[in-house]
Parts: sequence; C-alpha cells; structure tokens
Amino acid sequence: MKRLARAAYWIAPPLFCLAVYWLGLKAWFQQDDFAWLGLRYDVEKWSDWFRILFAPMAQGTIRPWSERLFFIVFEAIFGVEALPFRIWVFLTQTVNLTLLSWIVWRVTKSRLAGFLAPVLWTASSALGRPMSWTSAYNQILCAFFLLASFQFLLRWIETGDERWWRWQWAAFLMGFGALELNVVYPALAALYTLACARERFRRTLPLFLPSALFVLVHRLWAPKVASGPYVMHFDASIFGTFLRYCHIALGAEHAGIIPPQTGWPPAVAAGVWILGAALAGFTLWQLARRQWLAGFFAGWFILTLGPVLALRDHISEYYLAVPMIGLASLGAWAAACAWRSGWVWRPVAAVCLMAYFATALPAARMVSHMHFERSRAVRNLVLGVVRARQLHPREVILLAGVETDLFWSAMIDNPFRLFKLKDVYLAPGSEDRIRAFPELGSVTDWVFPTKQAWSLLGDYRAVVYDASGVRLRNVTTNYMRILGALDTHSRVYWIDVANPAFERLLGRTWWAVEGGSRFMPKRATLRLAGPRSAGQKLYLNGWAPEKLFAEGPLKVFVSANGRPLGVATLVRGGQIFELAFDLPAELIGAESMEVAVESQRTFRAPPDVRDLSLRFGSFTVR
Amino acid sequence: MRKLIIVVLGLAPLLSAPMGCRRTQPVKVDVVEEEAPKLATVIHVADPKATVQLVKGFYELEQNSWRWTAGKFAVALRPPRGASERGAVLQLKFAVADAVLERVKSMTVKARSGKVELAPETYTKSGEQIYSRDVPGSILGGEVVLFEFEVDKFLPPGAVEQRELALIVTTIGLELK
Repeated sequence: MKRLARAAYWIAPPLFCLAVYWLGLKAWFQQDDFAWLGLRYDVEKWSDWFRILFAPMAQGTIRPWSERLFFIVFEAIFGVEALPFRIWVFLTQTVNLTLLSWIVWRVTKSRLAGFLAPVLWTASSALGRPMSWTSAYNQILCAFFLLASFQFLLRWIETGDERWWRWQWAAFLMGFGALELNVVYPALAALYTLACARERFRRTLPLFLPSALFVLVHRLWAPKVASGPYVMHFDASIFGTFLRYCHIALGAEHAGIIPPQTGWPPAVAAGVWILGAALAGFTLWQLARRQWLAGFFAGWFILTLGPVLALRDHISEYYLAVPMIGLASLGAWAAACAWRSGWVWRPVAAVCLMAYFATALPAARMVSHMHFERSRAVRNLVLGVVRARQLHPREVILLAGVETDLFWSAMIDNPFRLFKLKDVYLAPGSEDRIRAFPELGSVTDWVFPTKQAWSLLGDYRAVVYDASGVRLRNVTTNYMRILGALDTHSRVYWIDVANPAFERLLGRTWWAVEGGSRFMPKRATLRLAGPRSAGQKLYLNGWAPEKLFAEGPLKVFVSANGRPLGVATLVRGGQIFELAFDLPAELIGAESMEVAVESQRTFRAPPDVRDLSLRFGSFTVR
Repeated sequence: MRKLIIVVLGLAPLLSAPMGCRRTQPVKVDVVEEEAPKLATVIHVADPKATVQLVKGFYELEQNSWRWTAGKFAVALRPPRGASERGAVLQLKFAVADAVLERVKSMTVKARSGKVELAPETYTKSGEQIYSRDVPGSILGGEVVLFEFEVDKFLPPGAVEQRELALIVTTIGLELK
C-alpha cells in the first residue's frame, strides 16, 4: 500500500497533465512547425548542417535542440506524422513535472508541496500552448534543462559530491541549445545559494561566464530586430509589461486567448485577486521570518520572466511557462504551510487553490482546444491538397475559402513543399478574406492571377478546391460558372461547349456534357461576339456519329442573328470535323451574336430516348 | 530518483539520431469531396458550402455568423426554379454598425446584375436591415446570376482599421415571386 501511494505520488501529476492537455497530444502541425519540418530540404551539402543548426533564425533565435534538431530528427524518422513529436513533448514534460516535484519536496521538506507544485504548474494556462503546439517545445525543453541543472545543484549542495556539480555544468551548457532563456540559470543558482546555502554561493559565480559569453556572441551574431513586435524596449514600459504578466499569471487575463467580451464572472475575478494577495502576503511573511526560500521562488518568477519584459509589443501568455514554475512552487509551499498550521489557514488555502483552478484550468483547456482545432483545420487543408494532387497530378490547384487563421497557420510556411507539391495557390479574390500582416509575409504572393486562372480553368488545366469546410471540396464546376457570370460583359470569341464556364452562353436545347463535348438535338444555339475584323470566320469543331449517315451525307445549316451563313455537307460519319463559315460585315464589332446550328436529321440510340445529332467541342471566331 | 534521472538523460542522445536519413515517408491521405455542392439560391455567409459564391468584397467570417463587406461586394446566386418566368426577389440581410453610421450619417445601398440596376435604398439607422428588390425574370435564366452591390459611404481603410468597412452581412438570397 505504501509503495502504491508512493507510485501515485509521482505518477499523478503527469497523469493530470495528460488529462488537461489530452487534445495537445492529438494536435497536428501548424504555423512555424512547417518551417522547421522543411529545414532538412535546405541541406544541399554537409557544410550546410552547421548553418542549419546554429545560424540565428527567426528573430535571431538559436535553438538547435528544441527546434531544429528536434524537428529534423523526428521528421527524418517519422515523416510528417505529428503524434511522435507530441509524445516526445509529453515525455519531456513528464520528466519536468517529476523533477519539479522532487526539487520542491527537497527544498521545502514538504511532500505535499512537492506534490502540489507540478499540479499547480500544469494547471497554468501558460502551458497551454507549449503543450499543444510543437514549435513551442523550446519552453518545455528549456524548463527541463533549468530544472535538471538545479536538481544537480541541490544534490551537490546536499552531498558535496563534485560529480553532481559537473552534471549541473553539463545540463546548464546543454540548455543553451534549448532556449536563450537558459542564460538566467546562473542567477537562479546564485539566488538559491544566497537564500538557502550561502557557503556555496561563490562556487556559482563561474556559471555566469558562459551566460555572459552567450549574450555577447548572440548580440554580435544574431541580426538586430529593428521593427515589428520583437523590437526590445529597455525603458519604463518594462514595469508595465511586468505587471501585465503578473495579471496573466494569476489568471486575471489571458492575453490573446479569451475574447474580451467573454470575461470571467466577477466572483472568480475577485478570487484571482485574493490569490495574488495571499501569495504576496505569504512571501512577505516568510521573508520577515528570514525564510529566504520564498524569495527564491519569487525570484525564479522574476528572473525567468526578465528576458521577455523588454518585448513590450509582444506579450504572450506562453512566455510564462517557465516563470510559472516559481509561482507554482511558491503556491504549493504556501498551501502546504497552511495545511500544517491547522484549521485556521486551511480554508484560506482551499479557497485560493479553488480560485486558481477555477480560472487557470478552463483557460489552459481552452488554449489547448484552440490549438488542437486549428491544427485539425491545417491538417485537413494540407492532407486534402495531397489527396487532390493525387487525383489531379498535372493541374494547378487553386484553393478557395482560405481565410485569415488558416492562411497564417498553414500556408504561409508552405507546408506543401514537405510533400513536394508544386502549383498550389489561392484562388483569385482570396486576399479579401485574409488579413494582411506584412511583418509575417505576403498574402498576394499566394494568389493566382484572375486572367491566368480563367485561362487555365478554360483549358481544364486547373482545379478549384474549397477549403472552408471540414474537408476540401472540389468546386471547379461551380467556380467556373461563377467566373463565367463575372465575365458576362467581356466579349467571347471562343466557346468550349463542355466547359461549365460557358454554360450561360448556350441555348437551352443542348444536351448534357459527355466526355468533354455535347450532343445537340436537331437545332441548338449559342452566343459569341461578332468578328473583330473583316475576313474572320466562324469555326465549328465536333464529331459526327456514324448513325447520322445511314441515309447518306448530312447537311448542316448555320446562321448568325437569323442570317444564314451557309450550308455545309458532311459526307462520312465516325470522325471529327471542322466547318468554317464566312461572317458578314455587319456583324463586325458586334458585342454578341446568336449562332444557330441545325442538322438535317437526328438519330436515336436505344435505350436512350434523346434525339441526337452532331457532337460539338468548340465554336470559334477567328 | 537517481535511476529516473539516468534514464531521462539516457534518452537525450536520441535527439542526435541519424540525420542523413531521407527515406520517403508514407503519406496518410485524407479524403476530399470531389462532388461540388449545388450552388445555393439563398446563402448564409457563415455556411462553408456557400463560401465560393461570395465572389468579392467579403472579409473573413466573424463570430461564425457574419462578415464585414467592403464598399463594393458581389455574390453569385442560383436563381430559384421558375424564376426566369416569374421573376424573384433579391434580399440582402445586413446590419449597419453604430461606429460606421456615426461617421457617415447615412448609407445608400444599391445592386445590379449585368445591365439591370436595382433601385437604391438609404439607411439612416443602425442595426439590422433588409435590402429587398424585385429582379426581372429576364436575367434569371442562367445557372448562376451575379449580383454586384455598392454602398455609397463607408469607413475608408485606416479610419478604424486597415480594411474598408461598409456593411455587416449575414444572408443574401433570391426568393421566387
């Protein structure tokens, strides 16, 4: 029973994490994921590897383990299959939760605090994105290296065994490959030793050297960000940004996640402020008692948040993922202290915990759900296009119905190149429904020009898929009809009678399309523009069925605007034909003329009861 | 605990697994619908099946129910059966936003299809509105008819946001007379 309880103690937090972020485990790829997944396609020679792994990329980041190598290795092994990536993220977080539990247990000497810390951290909505979006794995891996380094430090402090000290160095140095935030580790180590093991403080000072070197190299090597949300502002705005993050951390707001109109009920919001006051009160009380550990936990929050405080215009909830370790530990310790102090403080702790879970958990689930839903839409689009390409290997694929979120979550990083798909574009007019974010990229680069689309569709060299539903839908026919309606006022000198785009120009007697052409009954009409100049002719292209010639040669009568153009005689059936007729001068420049074709006779092919005559492909004025 | 840490650190080298591997990955392919839905006679702008009929001037879907339009927008509708003989009624259901009306005071909406112009109507109150006009059967004979709408006054780009904002549209359709 004791062993069972002990196992539950360690297993419960990861299971809780799995329950909260279950949808995150099932999420597919989105946004930056595609850029990272496509990295290995940028490798042409061995020397490219160094650049690919270590050259500063987006916003000057250098994160070889958590982004580049992670995606390259997993993509090489598993392809564009998201589940292994997600499992790896969850495994890493399982280790993180275990490490945190162990650390808090050891530093507070409270099993309860050790149990609560990972649970409180898990409930934080700051983990919603890292647990649901693979590109945010850097937060999880950074937490791993920081927690691992710190637990090695604790072991060294406890045992004096220098091996732990060396392990700490190894984990710390490795941490630079996860996230730039790793530079704060020496400050965490120094703060802890100052607070709880002062005799060890001086040994932590050399840890600052790699951090200083990293900052120096990063500043020299990484490109400066001169504009956009990632510009750093080292001014008084830092304090405002810090307060905003405190709000978010306590659940008082959820940046960019919950629309403002769906604010929290006042009672819950009040609970959040009670929670903040309780945490602040507990910290001050502990500090007054010279229990500096509370200062360390608060310091963890501040120090790990520090590097992003200068990003005034890019406040993002997930930047709190690592700082929340400090607040979760502080909260867990406060709850454990309250529990130990008897029945007076227990209800207070219970109310605070309830207030926290009541706001944080739904938000965490909401963030996870949002990323899952978005990733599912992206998956449907990308794999839908893969399928569309299989069905239409040579045609240009035009995507209609792609709107803002889907475009910026999927298309901007060109996921199609992962499947070696080319010639995939947005249908003309799509740019109306996609908000522009010039700092992220260009929408218009993806939009296929209207004229070319019209031309390709007319030649059956393009297909249109609607991406606005759950699955991609082939809407080529509808799209062509609409394009045809749009084109009502332009002059048409050529008609493919089987093309839906020209349906509006055909009279009512034509039979339905069959294999790229149409039969007509005895008589059929259509509308074409008059000739542009003298000498132009009307050409009719079609196929003459043999059955029409059972009674001998067939006469074909053609007129334009009621005026006879001539009579052609077809001698043999079972073959294609082209007929040409002169056009009279009075039709030159006419916006439209009605062309009528009449066959001398018709036939029937039972059980088909239709009266059939010639089968036409196109009519041209040239 | 020590064993656990050793196991965890033991997994780390997996991150540096073979990189040169470039085998072709099997692709799990989803189904696409090759059969297009029938063009709609009445469309709700939130209906994914009708998105393709919102030809131009419609912005992204908001709150899963409505769309802002630009000053000019167009929609393609399938005429109802028999409309070419009896004619039909074009109905545009929309809302005039307070923020827009405060600036422009009144908004006149008009529509046309080809050369046929439908009479304009002026709106001076915010809230839900309907623009309703008879459409002659003579232009409703085809498979699809394009209606182009124009609003005389709207918020220009940059006034409130980067888009030109005119009406908040929910439904557009043709009803048999």
